[in-house]
Amino acid sequence: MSTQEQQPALATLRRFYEAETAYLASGGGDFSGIAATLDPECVIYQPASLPYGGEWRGHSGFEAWMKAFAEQWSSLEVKDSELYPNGDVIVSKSHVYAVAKRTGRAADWPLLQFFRVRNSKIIELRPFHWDTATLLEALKL
Amino acid sequence: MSVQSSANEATPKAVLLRFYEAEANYMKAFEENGIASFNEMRETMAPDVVLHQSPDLPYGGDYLGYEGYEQWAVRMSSIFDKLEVAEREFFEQGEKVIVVCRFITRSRINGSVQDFPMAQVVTMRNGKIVEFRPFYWNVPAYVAAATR
Repeated sequence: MSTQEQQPALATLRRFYEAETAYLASGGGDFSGIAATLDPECVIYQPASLPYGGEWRGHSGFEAWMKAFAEQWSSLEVKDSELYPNGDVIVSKSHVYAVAKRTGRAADWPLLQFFRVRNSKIIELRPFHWDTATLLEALKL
Repeated sequence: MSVQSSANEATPKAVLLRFYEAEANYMKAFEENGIASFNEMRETMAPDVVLHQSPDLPYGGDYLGYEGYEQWAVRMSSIFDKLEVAEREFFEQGEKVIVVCRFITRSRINGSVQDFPMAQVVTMRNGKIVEFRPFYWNVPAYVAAATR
């Protein structure tokens, strides 16, 4: 039995990543591909100190969060991704390389992302940034 | 109990649970007697253990070895008079285990309470912890906790 069969949440996460890649490659616009991987009640939590901090709810909230994020960062690359599935939750461990849109400053930081899946859709997403102060420093004008 | 002899076969989660138990015993002894032995915790960690704390935390930086770990524990207790971990979820793979939890602290300096999610990557080698890397939800909140 493959890991994917043992951990069905992994298949959901891969569909989400594919949809996200396609959305970003096309420059945004059609959000339906990503929406198809999200539960209507999905919530993304961001630390309050960030410019896009707070809770973003539902498909429209998720789309608004992606736009708010894109206003801050002009490039974003995720490397060294490792996935840790356990039942309906997956934690991904990676390293992010980003450039702040307004300042042009580059920043990189380790990232953990917590995904909870319900009925093959993502219901909760919570990123843990290694150091939010580092992000704020890069974004600060 | 053959805790030490079984260390090499223990899963990362089992080692981490033993560490947590030792840590709780350490804190209880410290609270009751004002002094505690570090030995039980030491048994779960390799001599070259490293604890990475986000650089902008009031106790940011890398803490090396048993001595470093103890130094960090002293710094933490100088800032917080309450430390509680709740709702732990474990994610295990190879020699790593990731813990996601709620971390509740109270500042000794200004009485503020921090109640945030936290995640931590713990890496093992031969049944001993070699690296801790905690991810705090919101570093500025901990900076404020250490400010009078």
